[in-house]
Amino acid sequence: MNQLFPIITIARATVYSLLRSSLTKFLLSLALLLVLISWASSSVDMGIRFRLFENTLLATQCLMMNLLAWFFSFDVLRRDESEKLYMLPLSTAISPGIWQLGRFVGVIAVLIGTGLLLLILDQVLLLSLEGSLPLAMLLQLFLYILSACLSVAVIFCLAAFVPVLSAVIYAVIIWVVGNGLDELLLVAQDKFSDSAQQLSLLFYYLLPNFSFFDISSDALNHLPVDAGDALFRLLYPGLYSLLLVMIGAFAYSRKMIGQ
Amino acid sequence: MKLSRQKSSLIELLEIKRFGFLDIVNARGLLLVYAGFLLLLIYLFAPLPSAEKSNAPADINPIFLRASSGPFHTLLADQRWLLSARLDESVKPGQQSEQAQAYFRQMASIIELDPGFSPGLRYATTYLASIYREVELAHALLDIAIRYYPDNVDLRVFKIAQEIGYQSPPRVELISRWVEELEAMTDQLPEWLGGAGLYALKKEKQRALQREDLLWLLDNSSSEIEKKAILKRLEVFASEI
Repeated sequence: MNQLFPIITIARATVYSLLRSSLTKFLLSLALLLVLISWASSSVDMGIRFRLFENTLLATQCLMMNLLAWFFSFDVLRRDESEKLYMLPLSTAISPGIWQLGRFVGVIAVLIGTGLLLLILDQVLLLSLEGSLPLAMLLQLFLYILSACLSVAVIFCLAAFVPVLSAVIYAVIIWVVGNGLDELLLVAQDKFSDSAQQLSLLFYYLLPNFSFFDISSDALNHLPVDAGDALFRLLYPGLYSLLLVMIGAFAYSRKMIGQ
Repeated sequence: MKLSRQKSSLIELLEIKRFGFLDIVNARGLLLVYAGFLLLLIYLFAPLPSAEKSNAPADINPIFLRASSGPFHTLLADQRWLLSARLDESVKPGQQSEQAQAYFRQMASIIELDPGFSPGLRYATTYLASIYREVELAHALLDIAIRYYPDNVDLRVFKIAQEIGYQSPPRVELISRWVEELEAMTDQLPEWLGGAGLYALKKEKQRALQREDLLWLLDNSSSEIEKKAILKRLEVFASEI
């Protein structure tokens, strides 16, 4: 409980600094522009009405949430790294691990806030054009927010071991690989040897699996989503992020001052 | 100090030496004119997209395409579907098989990218079976979607309907096997599937199904070339009756 207060204080400071940043304003403007482009595509008929509109809306949400995750994490961590900000509260006996945890919570709070803002905008557009809110679409839009949260957790964990810029680059690579893990498993089952299949299965469960957040085909074609399946997809980022944060916080706590 | 000297010499070069009559604001205005000129050059010389160019990436293994496009695979499917309407799909004598293969590859990449894209899947399989008369390719296309949705009853029922409608003569043993698989999955099968084997042998029913499909294809086609091919097949149908 004693540790909770500094975490909240650091998180609040992070939220304020990110909200004041011109980067946030720029990215939100870009998101609005992309949503407008999606809206412009609503007149194209693809056999299913508003399919292209929904598709571009999903792509916008996915792209923007990940861009926000990468840039916010980089912005916060780079400032900490260059200005050694995590050393500031040492006089109050707050460890670098707690500082980093507070920063992480702050970034996640801003990310979820902006994500929900975009989600509300998407809902208004969907409701005004289609007259209904397809549940699978909403779930997919929300999953992209969770996917971005996992991206932040990956960056914060990696930043405990490598410089911030490298952490972001590795996180982007992990995101690309993580999105292709389901296809890797499918190909492995068809064409690879048994040992390669086992290896791909290991990657599937061990690496951050971003393909769990992709139900876009079901969402666009208004197919039913299994409740148990949906629950797992909603819980997965929380569980995996917790694992990464624990590793990251442990590594940060062991960091020597001046490193 | 060094930077400000460079900056001042740049301003000097822009404003005083070369354009002595311009102040800083006008020099910025001139830069905008230059930018506009560069954009004009791009507009004048940039190549326009062509149908041939859009056809080329179909040779990439679709599953790699899906993996590399990450969460944007459905958007890529839409892009390919919209571009596919511009391809020449008219049936040319002597090239039907090659054309069917090319059409299959194009559609297979779309279905691999978005296996739930039902209108596209139904259109492409019906087109393959009815216009190109390639039932096996139509089945192969459906198999891609079934791989992603193994529990989807509709897809399997549609596959049986394709076999009954277009395979001549329909393979009754195959149909019976598929019906058995379906019965193991659900107990809510369409009535006509109960006697699928017998149904398959009734030529007039098969023809009625084919004609219905052609009319549906005609309604849903967005390409003039495809419409011509479908109308031609409908004419052949009318003359045979």
